[in-house]
Amino acid sequence: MPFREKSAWVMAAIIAITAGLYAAMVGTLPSAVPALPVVIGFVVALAILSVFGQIAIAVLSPKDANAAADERDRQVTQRASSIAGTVLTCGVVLALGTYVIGHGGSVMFHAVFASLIVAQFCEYALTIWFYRRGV
Amino acid sequence: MAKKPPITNKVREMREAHGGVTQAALGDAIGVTRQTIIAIEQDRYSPSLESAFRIARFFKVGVEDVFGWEG
Repeated sequence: MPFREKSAWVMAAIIAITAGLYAAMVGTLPSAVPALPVVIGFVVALAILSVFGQIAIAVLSPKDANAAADERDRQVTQRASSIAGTVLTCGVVLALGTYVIGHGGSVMFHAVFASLIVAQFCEYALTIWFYRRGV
Repeated sequence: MAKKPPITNKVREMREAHGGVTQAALGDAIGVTRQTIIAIEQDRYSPSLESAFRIARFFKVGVEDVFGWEG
């Protein structure tokens, strides 16, 4: 399995877990107001788990970790990023729509934040897909 | 499901015919990873024109001796 596919599996799992925990915590808050400690906690947890995850797979396959991206890696990354960018754009437009129809800034904040998470998850999922099924 | 590329290849046969060159050795020689050579052999990836020429040159044959078109 290519190193970048392993990395995408790790990152997709980390995002799914941390985003799930974030959604569960936000859901229990008394108001829809964005809670800065929860947001910061999510970002810090994501960053720490990402670093440890990447170190773990690099230790298991050090040669692959040090190898530069080749033409297939670049093609996979470009296609996955391109589609994820479209997902993010759609999510942000929908989030802006929630504000326009009167749901307020808090809902828009959560919708934009969710779009970021979904788009990032899509990027990793598509990376895995393109590596396994062809670019 | 991803569409199978119309470009066919004989990379595996060429490796075996040239003394069992490993996928890693071929990858190192043309500047791609072993996984990319595997993907080419399994028809999951069509290499760039430059890599196709590099592969053919590695085996000292023409590009059309290694790659074909089934589109």
